Amino acid sequence: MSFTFSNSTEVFIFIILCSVYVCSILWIYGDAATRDMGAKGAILPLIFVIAAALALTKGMTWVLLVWPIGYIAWFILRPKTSHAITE
Amino acid sequence: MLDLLSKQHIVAKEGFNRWLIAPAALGIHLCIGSVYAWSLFNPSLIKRLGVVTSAADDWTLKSVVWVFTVAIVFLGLSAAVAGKWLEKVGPRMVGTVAAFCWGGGFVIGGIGILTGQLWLLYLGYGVIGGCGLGLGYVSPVSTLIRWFPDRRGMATGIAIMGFGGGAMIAKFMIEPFIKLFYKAPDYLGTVESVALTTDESGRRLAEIAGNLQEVVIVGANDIANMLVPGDAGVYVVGTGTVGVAQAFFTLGAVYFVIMMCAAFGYRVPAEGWKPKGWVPPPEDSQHAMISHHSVHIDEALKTPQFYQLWIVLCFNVTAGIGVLAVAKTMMNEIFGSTLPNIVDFGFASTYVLMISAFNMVGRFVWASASDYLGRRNTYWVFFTLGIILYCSIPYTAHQVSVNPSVVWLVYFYAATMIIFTMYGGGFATIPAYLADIFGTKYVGGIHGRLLTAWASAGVFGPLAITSLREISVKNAITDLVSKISPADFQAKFGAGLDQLDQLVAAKTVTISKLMEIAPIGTVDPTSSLYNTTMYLMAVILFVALIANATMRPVNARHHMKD
Repeated sequence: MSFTFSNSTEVFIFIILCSVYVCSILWIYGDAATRDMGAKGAILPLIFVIAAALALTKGMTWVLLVWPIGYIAWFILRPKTSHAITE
Repeated sequence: MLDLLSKQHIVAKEGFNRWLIAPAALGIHLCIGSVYAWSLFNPSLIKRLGVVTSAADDWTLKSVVWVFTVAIVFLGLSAAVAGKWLEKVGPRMVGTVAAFCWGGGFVIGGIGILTGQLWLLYLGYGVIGGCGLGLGYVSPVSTLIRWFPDRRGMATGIAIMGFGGGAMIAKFMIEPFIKLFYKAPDYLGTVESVALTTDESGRRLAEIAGNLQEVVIVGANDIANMLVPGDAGVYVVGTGTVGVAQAFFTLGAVYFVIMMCAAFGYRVPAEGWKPKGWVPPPEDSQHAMISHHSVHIDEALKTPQFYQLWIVLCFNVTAGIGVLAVAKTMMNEIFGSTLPNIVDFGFASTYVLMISAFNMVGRFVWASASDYLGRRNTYWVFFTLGIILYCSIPYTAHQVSVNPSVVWLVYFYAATMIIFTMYGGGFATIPAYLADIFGTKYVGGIHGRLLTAWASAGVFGPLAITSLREISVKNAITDLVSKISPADFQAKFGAGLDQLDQLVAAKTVTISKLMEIAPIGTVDPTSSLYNTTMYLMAVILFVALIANATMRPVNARHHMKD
């Protein structure tokens, strides 16, 4: 993985995008846990992580493409009902 | 044996003194906190072959700085995974596994240095050691919050203070160990007395017993940066020992023993235990930010508050860690060239020690203060003051290059120390902030997951610093070369300007060496290498300020129900 930045604005945008990416994965992980998805709930976010890592090796454009596709795929694939976790 | 480590085995008996948990927590955090002393290894690691100065095949600063980054990334990842496991098995089990990972990581890393395998250093210290960091870090936090519900900030401040102070203790071990095992390479004589040639890759060579061997040259400006003081002149590459691998083995053994002892000191309070006479704060508007309800680990990931706190932690740490990863180098580069009589190797080492001291003190002081100020207000202070200080550092750097006065050194020293108290304070206050927002029941697990913010910051900080520095160095060298006559350049480096890129890559041409032949009156560009980085950090802190300012209590639909 190699990134070349020519100024601080590019580094700032990179930091913000990566933060959004990590937070998205965490949110999906939590969403899966409240939808009783079992192992599938752990695997799907993992696919997102792998896709993100692969996209990172290709450059920023790929990252920007994979993120919305992954998100849309998640909303299509997840079970429609969720529940609150009780004690 | 496993039963001895289980959570059920360590429930405290009636009358147990809760203050006894503090030394155990502190012990583990002091050991794993030595990761902050990583910059003390950098000067040795980048001279593994050259020993007195970097040789062409030596690891670069950029490549070894990333070992620290990998360790921090794995700290966050392992903490995120271990948080839930910790709630199940208890702190002693987690602390024991941490001891094996951290101690073992040092040993594997040491083998990597000894054999010149950088990947082994990454695997040992970065991956396995990083897992030890994450497990060790989360092991006492939720236990302390449960023992001290009346002083959450102070309790977590005590433990996390150890993490900040680890580098301070480590300094007293790392440097003596490195010096103990250090062996200087063969000295050939002064530059004038040795016939030198430069090959097409930019390496300097000397004829020894009929064979051309690679050598390194220690110039007048390099003497202050030598690990053990020596003479200026020509040294043979690969004939000395830098001593860092042996130091790794010794440190690994020491940390393992201490962490095992500390893990066996952990106790957890019985279910429903409360300090004598303590009454939980009432549910009124004055205490609106302190929740009486608990949010499950997984449910917390669906609340905006989790992500606001993620940004608060991540960006506070990004700003701090970016400077921390190259703190000693920064002091050398900015002030070493302008005030060489004051800023030498010893001064820079003391600077690292002081970073650790202020980082440690900040953890305890700010976290304890947050019990009275409130968590949100405490972070307000961090971000507003941080923005001002980061923005002021470029001005200081510019002033010292124009007018090399000690005043600017003092200001820089003070500003960075305040930054590091707030960096440490940010870490130490976050578990109490989480307990206030999400309740205490699953705070350990939620804290573990929030540490992914730290892992991310472990990438962003060094990435920002090294990328922007590389751009600045390249620009500065190009600018300096344009002011130097080609004849002077040829005489100094034994090659023409057409080979500039190769000479820079082989470290034959550096800013300090170019300054030796630059026209009188040329301003040393070293002091402004970090300007853009500082402004970027200030912008990042502003984003964190917004995230903190908009923090509100968690919506009731996320609360756990019986």
